[in-house]
Amino acid sequence: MELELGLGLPNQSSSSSGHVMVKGLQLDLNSSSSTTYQNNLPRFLYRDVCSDHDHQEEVESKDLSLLLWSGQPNQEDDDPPPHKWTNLLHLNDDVQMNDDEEDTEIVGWPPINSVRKELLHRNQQQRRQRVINIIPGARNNINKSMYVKVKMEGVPIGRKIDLSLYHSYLSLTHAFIHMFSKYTAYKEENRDGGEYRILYQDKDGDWMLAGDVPWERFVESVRRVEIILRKDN
Amino acid sequence: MAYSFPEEVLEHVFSFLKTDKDRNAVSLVCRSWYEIERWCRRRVFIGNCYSVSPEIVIRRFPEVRALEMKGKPHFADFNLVPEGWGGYVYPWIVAMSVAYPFLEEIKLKRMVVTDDTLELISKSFKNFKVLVLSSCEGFTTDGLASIAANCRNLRDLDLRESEVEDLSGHWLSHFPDNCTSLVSLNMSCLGSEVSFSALERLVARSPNLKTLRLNRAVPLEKLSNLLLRAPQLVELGTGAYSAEVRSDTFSNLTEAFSACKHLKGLSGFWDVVPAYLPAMSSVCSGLTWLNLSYATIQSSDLIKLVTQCRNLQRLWVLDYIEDSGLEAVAASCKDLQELRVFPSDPFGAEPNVSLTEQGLVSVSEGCPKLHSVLYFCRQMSNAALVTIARNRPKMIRFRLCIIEPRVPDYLTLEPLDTGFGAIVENCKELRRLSMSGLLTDRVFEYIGTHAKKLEMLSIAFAGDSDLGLHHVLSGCESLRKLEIRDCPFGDKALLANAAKLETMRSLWMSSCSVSFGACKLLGQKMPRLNVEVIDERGPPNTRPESCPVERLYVYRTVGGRRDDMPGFVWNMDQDFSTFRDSQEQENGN
Repeated sequence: MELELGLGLPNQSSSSSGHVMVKGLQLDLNSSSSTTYQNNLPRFLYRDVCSDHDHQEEVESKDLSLLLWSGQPNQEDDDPPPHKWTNLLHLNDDVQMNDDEEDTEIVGWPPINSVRKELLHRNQQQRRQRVINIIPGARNNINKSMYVKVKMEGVPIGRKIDLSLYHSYLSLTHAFIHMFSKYTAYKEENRDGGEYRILYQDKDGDWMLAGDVPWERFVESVRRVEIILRKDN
Repeated sequence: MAYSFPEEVLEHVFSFLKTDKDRNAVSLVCRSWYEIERWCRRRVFIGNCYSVSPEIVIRRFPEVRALEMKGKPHFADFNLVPEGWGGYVYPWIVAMSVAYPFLEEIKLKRMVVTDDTLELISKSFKNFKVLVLSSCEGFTTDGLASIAANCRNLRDLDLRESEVEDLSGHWLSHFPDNCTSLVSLNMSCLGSEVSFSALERLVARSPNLKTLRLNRAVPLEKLSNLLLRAPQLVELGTGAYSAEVRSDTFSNLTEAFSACKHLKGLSGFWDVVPAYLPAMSSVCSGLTWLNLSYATIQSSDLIKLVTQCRNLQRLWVLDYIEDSGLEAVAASCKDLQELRVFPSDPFGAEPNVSLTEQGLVSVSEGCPKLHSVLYFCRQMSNAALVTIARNRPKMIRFRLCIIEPRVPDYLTLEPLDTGFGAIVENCKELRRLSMSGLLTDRVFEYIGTHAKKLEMLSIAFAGDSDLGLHHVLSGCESLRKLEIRDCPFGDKALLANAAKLETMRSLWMSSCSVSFGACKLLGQKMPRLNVEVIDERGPPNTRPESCPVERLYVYRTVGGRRDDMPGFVWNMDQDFSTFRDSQEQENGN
């Protein structure tokens, strides 16, 4: 059985006599009666592949693109009219708005398999659980993030850090060193954070020295962090 | 033929051909080669369980020892294939249990495997050795207990990313005391606690154990015990990598790791506490594969770790590694071949980490052997893609997921056509490509023109007309698998390239513009294709022919239509022809 739809292979390049080649798709611009394959084609295909004047009444909006292909050689595709993708951009905006309004997640996007999704879900829950365990009041406000602002002396731009990802003063200090290393003159690997003091503002608004209380109590009360150079350095 | 080698000689010669492709080629030479080859074929790979029937396989290859088979379409991973679609392995096992009593290996991917199936496997094949269930579902730990209890020579049991209903952790104790043959055990997907004493005894009596992947429920305190019993391990998947920070736990672990002189692969690291990472320092330099994609470790800790792993060939991480971490990878890991960066917060509206296109550019610059990439990020530019393409012309797999659909080049606001175009133009060996971001039909023209070795292509939210699909189908000569979602591709391109589909393994299209009429026509005209419409809105013939179908799955087959289709799947063969004819008659009258 042969379905004569593969039509023109690229080597059939004789594009005279009304045959226009669009990358291997041969479209007949002449009348329908003269071609052999059309007579063999089922009505449906005939209509859809060979849009032609005898079937104006069946030309749907989709067929317009076909007419466009036939009318324009391939090279003109190089410059797609800008509206094509600006439209898409607007479409995208609409989608985003929907997302915000209804929280409509696109099924299967981004492409992450169920095992990984489950893991993300668990990690998120665990982080929340940790927040709950550490901060008694957090149970009522389960979505509360553990982000706190961090500033370093002499560095104009502050950063935010999610404390629930850290487990000790040590790991936090290392994170800070890494985070601000590009702003400081020292080589990262030569430092242990000893040149710095980490101050934090607790829930009462008082500035304290990090490390003086156990890690859990620190996490519980910290509201913002500031890193300052030791004056004796 | 005047002279021919004796059969035994040819058989021996054929035994040196390792790839299926070569064996297939040999069997096409002449009738006698075909006969000899089919009798000595021991391994069969079936890329789609519905492309052939068990009877046909058994008739042609009577002496198979190893079967590898795939079931559901790849997009099933992302929840795009409805529950109950199919992919049942049971009929295969029933047929093989009679035909292949000496079957030793079964490797399945994305298939439904029941406990009955596992029990039948465990009792039918006397010398059964290898069971790999990758992304499979439908079974419980009871089924695993049958495997453990009955397969006396079991070498590999690998459940990677399968969904197992976890009834009890007791299944491990079903391995008989005289079972000492285990080489590989992967149970990382299991949820519940396993019987730890059973696990410890099993590991202790398996002198050949090379791969051990634990699940999250195995606590860090137990890991050192296990390692001390299996210092020969080559690949280890840890359980939860967290514990109260205690110096004795740390020193035990350090000691256990340092006894493992052969470790090449590490994975696991659930709930990791970074303070324990230095315990594995001794093995870092020997590692070639590091999977940290379950580990929520911050960039600074990741950098400390990966910069010690100078011989890494494969690295999987979460995006916590950030651009700075990837820069460190680029500087340290000169043998890196494969990089996968997964998102830690794919559904958040705002980026939670500083990972951009720059990280990938750095790795493409610093790692000359890089040939395989899976990268999730939130911004991309054509310039970056062009740089990557030029840096790594030997790229084989390139999968880029920009999380927000239809995002343009963030610098120029243009489509990413030229960027992906550069990838296909420069990377002549490219076999797998996944695309995302804002893309027009133009990129598909580049793909059709240049991607001559491309075998698998995934497209989402891209293109603007049939022309896009037409370029791909008419241009990509080596294409075997094409999966498309949410693209305005429709009937014309599909029908115009109907013959191409017979040369491919499968085509998936969901939320595209293919009409029911076109599917029907394709099914009727191409008898060697199974054209299946998946539509949860009810029978497609209750809607106008021009109505787009929800999902279309087309695959070539020599097995005919499958007989296990659920109510929401329709095969487009003769089913609807009477319906259409009567309609036409009505219209004619």
